[in-house]
Amino acid sequence: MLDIVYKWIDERINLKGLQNKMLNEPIPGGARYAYVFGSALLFIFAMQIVTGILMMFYYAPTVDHAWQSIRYIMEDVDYGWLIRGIHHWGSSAMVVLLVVHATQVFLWGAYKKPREMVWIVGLLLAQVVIGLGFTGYLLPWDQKAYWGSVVGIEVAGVVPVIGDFLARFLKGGTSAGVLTLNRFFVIHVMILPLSLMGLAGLHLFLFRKAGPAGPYKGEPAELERKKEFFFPKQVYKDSVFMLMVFAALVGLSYVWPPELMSKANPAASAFDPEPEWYFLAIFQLLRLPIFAGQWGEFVGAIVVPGLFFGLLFSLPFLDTRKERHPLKRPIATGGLVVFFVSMLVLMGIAVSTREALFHHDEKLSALGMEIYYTKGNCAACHVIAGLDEEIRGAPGGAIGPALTDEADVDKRQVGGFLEWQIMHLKDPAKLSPGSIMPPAAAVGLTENEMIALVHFLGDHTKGLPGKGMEAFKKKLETASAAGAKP
Amino acid sequence: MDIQLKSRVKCIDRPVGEVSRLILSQTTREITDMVVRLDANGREIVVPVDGNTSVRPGPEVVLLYPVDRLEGMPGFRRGDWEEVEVAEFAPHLHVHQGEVLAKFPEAERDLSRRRFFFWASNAIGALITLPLVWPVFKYLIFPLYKGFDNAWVRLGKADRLPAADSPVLLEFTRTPKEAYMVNTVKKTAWAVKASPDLLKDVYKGDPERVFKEADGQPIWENKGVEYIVYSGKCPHLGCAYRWDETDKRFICPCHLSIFKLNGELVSGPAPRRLDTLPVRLADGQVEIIDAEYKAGEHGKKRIV
Ligand code: FES
Repeated sequence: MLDIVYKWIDERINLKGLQNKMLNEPIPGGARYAYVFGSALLFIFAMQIVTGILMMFYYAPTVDHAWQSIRYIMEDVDYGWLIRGIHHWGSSAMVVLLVVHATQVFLWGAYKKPREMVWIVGLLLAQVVIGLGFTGYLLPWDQKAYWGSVVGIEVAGVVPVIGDFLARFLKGGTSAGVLTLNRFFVIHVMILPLSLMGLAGLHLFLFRKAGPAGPYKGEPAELERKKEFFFPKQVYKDSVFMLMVFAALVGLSYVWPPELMSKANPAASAFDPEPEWYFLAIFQLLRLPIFAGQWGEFVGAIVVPGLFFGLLFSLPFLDTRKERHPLKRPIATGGLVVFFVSMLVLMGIAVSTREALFHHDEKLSALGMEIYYTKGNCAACHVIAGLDEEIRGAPGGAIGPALTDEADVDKRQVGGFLEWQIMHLKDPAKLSPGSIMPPAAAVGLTENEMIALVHFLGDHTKGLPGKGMEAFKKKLETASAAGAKP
Repeated sequence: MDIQLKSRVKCIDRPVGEVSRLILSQTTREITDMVVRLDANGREIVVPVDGNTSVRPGPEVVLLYPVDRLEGMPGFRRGDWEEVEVAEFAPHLHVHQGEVLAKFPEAERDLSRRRFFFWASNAIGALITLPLVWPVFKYLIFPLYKGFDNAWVRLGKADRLPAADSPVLLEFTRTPKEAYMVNTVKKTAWAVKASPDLLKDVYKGDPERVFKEADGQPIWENKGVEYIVYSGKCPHLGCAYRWDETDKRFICPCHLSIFKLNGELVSGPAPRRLDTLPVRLADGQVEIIDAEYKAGEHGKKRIV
């Protein structure tokens, strides 16, 4: 039956010829596992399309339902965790394989003539993939998504002259909200995937025109003798690797399903500005003092990555030697090593400072609690529902925002929490424009007291255990009695 | 200068034949050999193109060795070679389709090997796709078959219904939780305060009186309530129908189905009578279970 259909089509459009052209691509030196990465990227992209479409069956790209609909997918819909898990881990896997693929092409010198155009289109593809990661990050509309993306958009804002326009364009106005989600959604599900398809098609077309580069060493006559067609052995090797990638995605989704933090709250004074891991290096770069200030940020966030990509784009024109052996190209290979080492160092610092910044510390929290209700007199303006009554016998003031939920802000990546809170204590109006909260210095808080205060804010739902609380209240009473005396 | 087809080929001592084909390396995309048809016997041999080959205007190809060397060169067997597309070799070669051949890969001759890899790849493809079939199916059908909502819904105060046997259209609001959000839907039903005769008339049939869960468990029986409530949807295709006071009948404007006050079909395309709903009186309020029945079917099949 299938044969008849095949014949029928073949008679009309020469299916056989088309098939031969696609499958009988000669690979110098024969099929290898070293060549599987490009196909694997295409495979993950296909998986992303499938899982992405499936998620759109339930996802609602509006600020009042995006988060709820993701929670619905994760908690209610059968296998929703699997679909979202594959999509979530797939995006990371794509970045990883992209780096591997590009590194291999770089090391093997496969970007050299006549494959310059393949390389350039490949770099464009890399940028589309990064853009997909960035825009997709916002869509669940949880705290992490919201604050991560806001920071990202602000980075676009530091570009001189057009920065403000760019940031407004991405946000759909002056602040991140309703239209921002719409814009990110349409960029993520329409514009970038279509660009990716077009560019990937071009990438493949150019690649087939120029032919595979083959191994970087070996006698041409020998490689010619050992050549094999793409089909079937390379196809087989590609599929073996695809199966491994697939199993890894499913396994990761099962063991670590993607999380969904509390719903985005633009008013929450605590946020966690950590981006996806593949932006961590640049995130850390921006923390370096030389990249502080508006110009510094521009240099760190735009110029440095821009120069890096510029260098990659011009690589085939800078390096025109025929030599492809990585050991005989010390500058290129050395540069690659330097690049990886610095990326890893930056990421390492970002991760380790994140962990060092905040950890539960009962003593510190207790001290912070004392400062909150005495020296800082924070309760005059803020409410912590429940705790206020227990400690002062009355709810706190309503001048400032309630801090009741402050402790619910995700603590897993609290580097941002501590940093932001301290920054905010020092100069509230800078981070929350219009705030009338007095800066910490005006209240006479030291750096250590501020740290204790933030630990309390991040911890307070736990309160103090029974006995500690009694002792604490007594201490407060004597303190206020002493304060009342003069 | 390039070697061209039909060029004469000479060894240093004498002419030997002419070039009949060119052979390309797909690895380097250069011409590596040429096929020479010998004048003496018409045999074709494969001669390497290398430092000992020089091309002269004429065009003429000169091999810088004596003719005896040709003895050791392999014969040309067409089956060992495949034609390659013009697109695949570099334009600087100035050759045309059909003139250039490349070595057919040795490994690809073994058909059983090809078949093995073909099936192995297919098996792997199945290992990737088949495990997804069930999850994706379950994922997609998740919201399709939900249990019925048997909550009682207030229609309005009973004493607001007019004298016996004249139906009124009552609007009620439902706020079902649909997937991840609460939705607000306005619905309607026809309510009648019924005379004993009408009650008997309507509730004589089981499906009008007894209501069951999807699994057949009875949930309610319209017994001892002097109210009748009809679902606001026409059983034909779900339009909203009206009460015609002069002729005392329900008329559906869509396809003109006409029903009596007792719900029976008088004429028109509707497949069954009007659907009664479970009804009760609580605290002076008429309450119903907001059931919906599949339109267009002969039997009364609950879907909501
Ligand atoms: S829908 Fe009422 S008659 Fe067709």
